[in-house]
Amino acid sequence: MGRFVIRRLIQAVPTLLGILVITFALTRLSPADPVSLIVGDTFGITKADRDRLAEAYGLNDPIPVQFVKYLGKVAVLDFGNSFYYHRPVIGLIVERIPNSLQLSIAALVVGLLVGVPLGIISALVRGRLPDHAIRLMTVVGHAVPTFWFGLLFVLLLGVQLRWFPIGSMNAIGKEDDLGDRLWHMVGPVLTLSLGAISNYPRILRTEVLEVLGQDYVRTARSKGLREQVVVTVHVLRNALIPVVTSLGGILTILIGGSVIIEQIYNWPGLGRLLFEGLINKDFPLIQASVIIGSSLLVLSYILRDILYAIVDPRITTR
Amino acid sequence: MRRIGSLASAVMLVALACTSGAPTSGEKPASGDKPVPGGRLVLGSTGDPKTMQPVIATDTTSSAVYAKFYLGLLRRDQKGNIVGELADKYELSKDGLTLVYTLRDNLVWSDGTAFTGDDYKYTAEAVMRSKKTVRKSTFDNVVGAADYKDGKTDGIAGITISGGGKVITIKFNKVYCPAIEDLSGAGAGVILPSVPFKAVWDNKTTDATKNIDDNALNMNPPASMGPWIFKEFKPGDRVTFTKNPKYYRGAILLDELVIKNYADSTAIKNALLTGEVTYAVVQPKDFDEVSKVETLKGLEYPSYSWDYIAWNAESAKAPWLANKQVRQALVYGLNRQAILDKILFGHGKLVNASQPPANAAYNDSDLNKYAFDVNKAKQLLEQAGAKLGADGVYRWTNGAPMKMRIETNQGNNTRETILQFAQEQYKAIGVSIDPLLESFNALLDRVKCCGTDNEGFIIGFSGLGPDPDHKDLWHSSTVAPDQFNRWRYRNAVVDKALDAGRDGPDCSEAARNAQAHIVDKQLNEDVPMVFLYSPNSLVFADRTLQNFAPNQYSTFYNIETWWFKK
Repeated sequence: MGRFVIRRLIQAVPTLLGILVITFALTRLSPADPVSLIVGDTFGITKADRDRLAEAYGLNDPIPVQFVKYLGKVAVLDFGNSFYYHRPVIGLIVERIPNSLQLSIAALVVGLLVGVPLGIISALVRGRLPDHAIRLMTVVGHAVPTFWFGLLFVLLLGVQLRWFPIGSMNAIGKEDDLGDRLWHMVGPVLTLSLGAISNYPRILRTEVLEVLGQDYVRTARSKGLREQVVVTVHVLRNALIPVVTSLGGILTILIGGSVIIEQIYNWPGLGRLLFEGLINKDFPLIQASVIIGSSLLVLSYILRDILYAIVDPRITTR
Repeated sequence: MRRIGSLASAVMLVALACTSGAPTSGEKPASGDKPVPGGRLVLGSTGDPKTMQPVIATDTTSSAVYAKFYLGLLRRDQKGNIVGELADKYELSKDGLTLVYTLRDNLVWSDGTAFTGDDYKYTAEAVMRSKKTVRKSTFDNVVGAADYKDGKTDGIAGITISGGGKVITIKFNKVYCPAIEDLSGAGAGVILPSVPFKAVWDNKTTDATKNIDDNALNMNPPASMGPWIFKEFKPGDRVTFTKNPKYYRGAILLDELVIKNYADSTAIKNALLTGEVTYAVVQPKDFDEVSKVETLKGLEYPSYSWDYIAWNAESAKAPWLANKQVRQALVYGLNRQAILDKILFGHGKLVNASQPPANAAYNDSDLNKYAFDVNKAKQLLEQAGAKLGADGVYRWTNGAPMKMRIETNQGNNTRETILQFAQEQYKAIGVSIDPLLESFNALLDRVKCCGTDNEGFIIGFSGLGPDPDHKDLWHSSTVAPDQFNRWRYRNAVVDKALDAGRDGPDCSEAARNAQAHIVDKQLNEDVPMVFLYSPNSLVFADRTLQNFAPNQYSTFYNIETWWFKK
């Protein structure tokens, strides 16, 4: 297993290097002048001002020189200063990660806690009313765009009915109140986990039905094991493999998905930072976000492979 | 150029970011009620401050934040008059070459350090040595500023401090009419606390590579002269302040200020509707909806900004834009009143020249109002030499169809709608428009001087302060790369009036306003752009907030009297 993980990590290096080259080239190919991006439409900028800024941000060097310097800095996690915020990009990202992780992890947990049981129930009561209800729910859940669901949640349950907050992580003055934090998480977490809640039952229902028909399940039952043990020990462990597959890349999906969700719910996370970076054409921030996002994607695939081995030991021996 | 560092700009930037102004809906102080101390003020804003250090700031959100704890020597009162802030006296010599500010007595920073002229000089020198500032030109005429910038001296020779730190004397090489207000913020707009900042940058060094640009205090202001003390910054979420018990006008009644960051104007509107914020700016389209909320009071007042469709007089594809009659036709051919009524919902005023209605120099009594007139527009096009083609599009004198591009920034619904509207209306006068939407920064980059590959663009100016000096916009010397005269306007009469308004010899307000009107008259005739409208500032606040009466000059001029009525 150790060698396997090391091999995968080494394989990731050229991938990440390619991403570095592409993101750097794309941002430099953009027609916008970085100094214009830095100063916006500030009244009364002189040419001397602009020259000074270009020098200060290292924009006067030839592009290859800029890239080599950039590589050297990225190697020590120095992604440069944000054009927009005038601060180190890595600091901006690090201070937002905990906020996004709160949403991502909560959404992952809610998705699994709700989605997995629904999938099992749906399979076990196949053809009966609860099965139909769950299947209908998953179809509707799939059909509804998450941004629309989020907007509806804010406008209806937040602005109109005032049942839930309209956004943010806390009410002002309640920064240390865990209950208030959880209350503020209801909307974004529900919205973010909508996909998982709709997807897992569909996947699991099919898998559980297939596994239920296997000989070893019949054997387990014939041994006189309780149905609960048969389902949790023999059925679920095998049926979960597709769910684990779908978890591959979940880190980036959750971050990518939260770009919209964080914007709708005014959640000060990484997704919203990336969105602002894109709007402001903040190249260093965009580059760092893409590189870190890509690294997370590679990491999540490695984690997925490890999980495979845990769920199905045969996979390690192949 | 110089205007950016001025108090005027700082006041205006704050005004625009937080929305300031004088109420046309006229709230009067709640006389008879006894003010109750306490309470939290929550402002709705979009975006984090880029910095809390004025020398390197270039955005309105940042200036709205640092203006809470750093002040200048002068300010504008509720009537727009220049009055003392940290200085109680100021005097410009008759020859215009010596400016003296005298500080108030017993000024103290929130950390207990005395405020002195050294703080002023330190800030000015920080501006001159900064590599990331855009404000050096404030000191173009100050003796010794250039030498200090280059590391030839250890201080700006033209700025001297005397009278036990209370008297600041500034010597100029040349008359500079806006000096009193422009220099009152030491070039940065507001003044830094020199004692803590000296720990991160020593202004006495002659090493010109050292500067104040990157240090921890830029996001962690160490002391306050304003009504608020910085408490905490939560990125993407809020900036929190507590009241400053050492504020020179006396501790304010409110306990805490929060500038809350929202994703966009719709989120701010929702926060107003649910009572999450105490006051915020709303968009014209939301005005009626928010007006129906009984717990809120609305305020509307003019702003120092205007939107326009500018023409590139040196466009290769549209040479007709160099012709005055064509440009006049393009004004007559656009129903600007309809734009104001239908797109801005009436929350603004049409403008016909450079001075916005909020400015004391504004005078449109003898300006051509260019009432919408399709026939007049066509007539002017034909007088200019254009001939109507069979396809309904005029042909210019070189035979080319009068077809051109107008571009604006994507995401600004108002401007996008104006572009659609203009496309329709110009079609009716025989001018074909090719609309283009792009990001704001890409737009600025495309239309900057002095390319020829752009024709028209819709954008707005929000950087105009109460001072009438608009030299950066219209002077022929600013037809240059990265300067503001993107429309390539050149006129000797205008140049002369702009120079007189900035360089004197008569720097009185009346004389400068008269010069500004000469400029406006000529612009009104030459119409290098279609002046559209000056939008009003639309502010809503919690009804329980007493004495909240912002105007275009300032939001916080009476902050010490604000309180919440239970």
